[in-house]
Amino acid sequence: MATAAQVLANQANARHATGPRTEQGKANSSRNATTHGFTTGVLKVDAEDRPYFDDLEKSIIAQANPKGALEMDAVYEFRDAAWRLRQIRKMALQLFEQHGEDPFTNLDSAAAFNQLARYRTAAEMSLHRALNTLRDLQTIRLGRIVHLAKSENETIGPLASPHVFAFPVVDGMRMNRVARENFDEYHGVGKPT
Amino acid sequence: MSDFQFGAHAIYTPDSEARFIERRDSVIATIKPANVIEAILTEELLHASWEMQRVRDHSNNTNAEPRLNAAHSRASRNWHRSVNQLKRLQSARASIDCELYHLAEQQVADQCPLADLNKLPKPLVIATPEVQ
Repeated sequence: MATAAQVLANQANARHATGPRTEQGKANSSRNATTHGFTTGVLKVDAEDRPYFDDLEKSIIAQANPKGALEMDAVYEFRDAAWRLRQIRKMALQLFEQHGEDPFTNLDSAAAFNQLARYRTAAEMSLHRALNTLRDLQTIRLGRIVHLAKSENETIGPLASPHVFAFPVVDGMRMNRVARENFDEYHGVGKPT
Repeated sequence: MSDFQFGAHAIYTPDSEARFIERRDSVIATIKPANVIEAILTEELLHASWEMQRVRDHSNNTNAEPRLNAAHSRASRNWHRSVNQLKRLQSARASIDCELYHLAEQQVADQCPLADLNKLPKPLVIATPEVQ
């Protein structure tokens, strides 16, 4: 049992403990309660996983070719969800290794596995939603490009050369636009009787 | 992404490892993912497929029946979503290949196994005979 003097000394000392002072220290202590990071808005990436994560991000951006802030947001949502799903599978594997039995049937790991399943459902929804949104945004962008190209004289101003839009070059070949309704006639496809 | 780790963190026992590897190789060979987005969805589909198999493997365990049913529902939903996404992604890739690069249908079919060839759009552009 502490004496009255010790209690007073402890209280006096505690006044000096004002928590972390540096920005890094504050950032570190803000993550004290974080266990796996599946419920936080900010993604948790361990140092050992960082190179793989960076590689994944670069590949997704290179493939999706996002333009503008909205498409970038959708790409980041997709990246985060894909990463969370990977981490959730990693934790499920750890449960399996810890208990030596499939989490589907092991009762000891039931609570933890059910919690992981909930996180996983949320991450899956986020993954597919982000991909659908990115598809919609890019379809809208493509539609605008196609429609602007059809009426380039009105949309890009009287001084601009319409040939810039009307005759794009793909793989060194000059391409010409053919109206969809004229396609069958151009290619000699007979109309159904 | 050349070094995508298909089947990472999958749950299998020494007895079922060979079956998992066979399934993984079969799924990849069937879908032929050509980029990282298709690879991520193929990975989702692979894990969903394997989880449904694990549920079937434990189907005699009556004590775990409610959890197995729930696991099967989750895996099945993710399997269908992933297949649908892959169909749409590969159909879009097939359309771009047909429109811009004039690939033959057979070539497109080989490169995009899940693409719906009946829905390939007619090309908006064709090559002119001479470049001026």
